[in-house]
Amino acid sequence: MSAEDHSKTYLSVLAALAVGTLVTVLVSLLDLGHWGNIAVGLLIATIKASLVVMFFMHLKYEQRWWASLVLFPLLLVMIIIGSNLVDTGLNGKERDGDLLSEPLPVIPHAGHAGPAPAHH
Amino acid sequence: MEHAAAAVPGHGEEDHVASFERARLAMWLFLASEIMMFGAFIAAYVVLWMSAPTQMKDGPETAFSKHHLSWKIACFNTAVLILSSYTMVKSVQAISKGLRSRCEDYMIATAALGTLFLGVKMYEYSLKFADGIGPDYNVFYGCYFLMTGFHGLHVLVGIILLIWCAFYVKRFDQHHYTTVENLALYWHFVDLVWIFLFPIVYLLH
Repeated sequence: MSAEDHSKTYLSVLAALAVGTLVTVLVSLLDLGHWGNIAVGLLIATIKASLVVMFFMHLKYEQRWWASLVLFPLLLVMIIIGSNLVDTGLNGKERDGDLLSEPLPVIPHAGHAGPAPAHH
Repeated sequence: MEHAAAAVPGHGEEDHVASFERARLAMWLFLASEIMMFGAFIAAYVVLWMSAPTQMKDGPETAFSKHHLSWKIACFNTAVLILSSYTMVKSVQAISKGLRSRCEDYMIATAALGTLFLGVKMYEYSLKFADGIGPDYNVFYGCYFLMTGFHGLHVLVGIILLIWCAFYVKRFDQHHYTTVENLALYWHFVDLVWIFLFPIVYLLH
């Protein structure tokens, strides 16, 4: 695996990471819209991370199924984030206030949630 | 007993290669668990950010907390960590060719860059503390100190392991460098986490 000379590859990856960092900063100074800035910033970070994983961490030269060791946890993290975002009111609604400071919604016919009153 | 003795790894070239592969696979599994840990931190940050945007600010004014954070300092630190990843991979390349001395030099350079990263981080923390900003200041800084603190702890562990490896570099040669390879995987992972923390914490609000 490491017997081959990857010197030029490593230098190219280093240069790409440096350029990627510079582009991340420059893009953040531009106004691409709230979600536009976030999408581009995360896209560049993902490309940089892929370069590190594939070339510096040698995943490109390992057995192909080893990639699932990285991709599966990432999928789980996406599920954690995605499933929680549903609860924050992102499902098609724009919000100005804080969900955390809002009173809990009243569920009709849910009954009394507190401790049962004592019977005398 | 004979079968058990035959199953002991490290006997012969084939066993050695298999052992090297098993060790790397184990390291990847460990890193998978690390992905879940940092993933949970980032998930908590994103969900809190979405559900309580005003609590991610540093006061009643419109300014976000990020105005207390310097992206220039963070950008410098990003460059330092990227460079350290390069010196780390060069260290592995050197030992894979049997060049112990060069491997040691690159390891020390990596540890030095890691120390520089931590030094800058400490300076950044000191600026916050001087302003009376700590983990309990607001939701944003709670997340900030949690994520960057745990990352810094990983860098510190990496530096200690690098110094240990550099000290015992004579144990490694072009055929036996599993420890160096696994340490490199760990160090690159620390770099990976920062690649995501930099835009998420410092640039994107």
